[in-house]
Amino acid sequence: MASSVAITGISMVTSLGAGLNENWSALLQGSSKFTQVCYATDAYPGISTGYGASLAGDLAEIPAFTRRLLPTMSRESTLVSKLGYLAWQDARLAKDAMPPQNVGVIVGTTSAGLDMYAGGLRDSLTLGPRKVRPAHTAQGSINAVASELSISARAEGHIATVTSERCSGTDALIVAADQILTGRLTIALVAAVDLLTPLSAESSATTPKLFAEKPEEAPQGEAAIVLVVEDAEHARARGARIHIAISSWSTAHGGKDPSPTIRVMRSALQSAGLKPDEIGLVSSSAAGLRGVDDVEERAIHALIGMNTPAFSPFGALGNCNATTGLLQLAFTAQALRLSCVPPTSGLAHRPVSLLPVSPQSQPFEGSTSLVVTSDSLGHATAIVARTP
Amino acid sequence: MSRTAIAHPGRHRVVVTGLGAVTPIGQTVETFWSAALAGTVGTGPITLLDVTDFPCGLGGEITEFAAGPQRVARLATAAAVQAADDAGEGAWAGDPTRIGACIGSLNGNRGDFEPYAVQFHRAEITAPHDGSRVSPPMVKISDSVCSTLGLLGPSLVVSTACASGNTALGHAADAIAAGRADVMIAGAADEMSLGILITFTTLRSLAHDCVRPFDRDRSGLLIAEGAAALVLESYDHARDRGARIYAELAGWSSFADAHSMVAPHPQGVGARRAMEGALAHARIPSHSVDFISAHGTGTPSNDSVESAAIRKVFGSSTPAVSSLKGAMGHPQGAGSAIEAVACVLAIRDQVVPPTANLTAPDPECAMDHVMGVARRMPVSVALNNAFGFGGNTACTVFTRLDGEEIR
Repeated sequence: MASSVAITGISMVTSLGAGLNENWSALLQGSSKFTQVCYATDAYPGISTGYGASLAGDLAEIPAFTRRLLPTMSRESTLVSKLGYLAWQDARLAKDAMPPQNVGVIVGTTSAGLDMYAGGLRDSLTLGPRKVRPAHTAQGSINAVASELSISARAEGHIATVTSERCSGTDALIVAADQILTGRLTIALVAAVDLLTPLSAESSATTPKLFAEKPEEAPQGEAAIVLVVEDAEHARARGARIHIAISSWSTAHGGKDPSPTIRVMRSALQSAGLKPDEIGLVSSSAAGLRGVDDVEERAIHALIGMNTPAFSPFGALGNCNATTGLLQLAFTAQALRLSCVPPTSGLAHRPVSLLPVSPQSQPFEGSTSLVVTSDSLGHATAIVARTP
Repeated sequence: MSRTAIAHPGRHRVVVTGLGAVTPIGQTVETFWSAALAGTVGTGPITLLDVTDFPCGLGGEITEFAAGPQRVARLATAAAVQAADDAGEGAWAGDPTRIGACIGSLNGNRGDFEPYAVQFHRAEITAPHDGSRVSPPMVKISDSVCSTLGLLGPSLVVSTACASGNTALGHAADAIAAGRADVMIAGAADEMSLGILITFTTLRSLAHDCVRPFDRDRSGLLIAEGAAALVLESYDHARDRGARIYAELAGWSSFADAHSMVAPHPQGVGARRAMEGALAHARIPSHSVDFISAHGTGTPSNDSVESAAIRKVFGSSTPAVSSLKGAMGHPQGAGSAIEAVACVLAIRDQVVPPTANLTAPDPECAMDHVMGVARRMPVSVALNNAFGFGGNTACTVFTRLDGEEIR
């Protein structure tokens, strides 16, 4: 039975680009892609206007393993199937490297399929329920992305979709780790996806204002990410390149004093057998959100102090909802590998400094990181991750 | 590299200490169970939605439960409060950060969006509106349970289509088994919605009059709504507080068909693996299973595929098989959570409910069906099947607490 899990494959697409390296370069350059968006389809009552950051591209040239993708698939299902292929390639796994029942799919999302759900309603109300295409309505379920990825990747092991707002991605990772550590999976494709919907494209804030005294609602950034999560022993045995290894995690919801954020941080450190001063890098999920930035800043300051460098990529990316924690983990892997803390954008409105974040990249030394993710509904996760 | 092991030391046993159910055949555990044992049919004309344009306007509703926003969260919370009361105060006396909720749902609260879409497409409203006010985040379903009961541990909603209830039970059990929680409320909730009715209408899967699982005259399923919750505890926690223990959640498993979004794998690969996996996780041989709560939707394809998968696992001499969907209709993601309650009660009372409306079993579905009347019989091990759209399968295994000798 496995004793630890490792991430051996990463693929992503955000407003800054496709792939970890392209996103990393954009982060270092301080790029961002926020624009005014007007979300209006005839499926929705009304028009949503606001600011957001759309995907850099839809990976048009990328296959979804060997599967022919159908035009009836949702945009989320199509993207994640393609990213699954790229992550599998990044993990340097052969097509049939594993018995399919040992490969699972766990997806975190808050809104996948909502477009298709609304479209099915529109067609039923305007054409009649018998005229709606079955393949269309099936994509309106939040679990469709996971099912389509399982079909594309021929992953016949454990399957689940989880939703817990900004912690959805990290909760998906925790579910995958449970499956691997209990010997029920060897490899999991862990994905997260959230794209702009009329319900999220209404931010009046033009850019995220991280740690601002009076944060507004941050603009959403579209993102999708797939990680190959693997039994670490299996990864080592096959000589895989390990991006980052997961040492411990914790998840909680609700409560104020202490906040769930500080509770999960303490718990994750305790499970990893680490003291706070053994953490070399902190990744915050601050995105200019009320109830997130201020809570994380105070919690990290109280537990880790001012001597450990920290960063948040969401000043550049916007609020990436369900993908938040997995994006943090991917950037943390890169930061640890390159011994470089990426810059944190959107700090111009910051009144006080309780956290050593910087608008410039900076070198650092360390092999262990704490990834803290939270949302304004009181969900929080913390993950301790290490360099291989 | 570092070889720090993640804490999964000596996994904890997980037991059931509280039950709650809100269903079309009863809105408390005991009224539900009495109706299930009597074979009461709870399906009928749908009244919560305008179904004028639909070829089938039948379903299983909970008309006593108020319509309106956040109905799924309210259904889940009502079931959770029942379960919490049933478990006794001692379950909640400990550290609230070690108590959480994991709730399954197929469509979550997407139904909250529907009244506005209907008004819009019927030109009754034209002005833009703030959609976020009518469609709260899906995780509010479990958050509502947590905030009502003062829980500060994990809060998560899972969706695996019609298998959501079993998946939620499994993930909650994993959190306890791994030592991350002492107590979890797990279950599922779904409501009657246009979205789900449209889906099954387009698939031509709806029955003409009633649901006849495994019957040669079965014609499909009827959509239903409902919720169920089970209080899961580590065995040590339950024993230390002197709790009444209904049963052990001894094992669970999930597999993907990886075949089609809208049809089960023709050989029932995922279904078979989920049953075998759950029994293996529970360390229980197939011949020890007494009762299978079948997914049994009443659709031609599901019932024949499920029957073949059951025979593959158990041979031609199957355990007693029953489906509650003849009585309730198909409560979507909540179905397997409600059926988990039935499995636990079958163990408590040593009786298996009948499959309502099953009168002439299809030879393709040959199994030991419980039909007509409830069957009094020894039930030490119950297997709960759930096989959902998109190839999502999940099974749970419940045992009498003295089940050690079964293994």
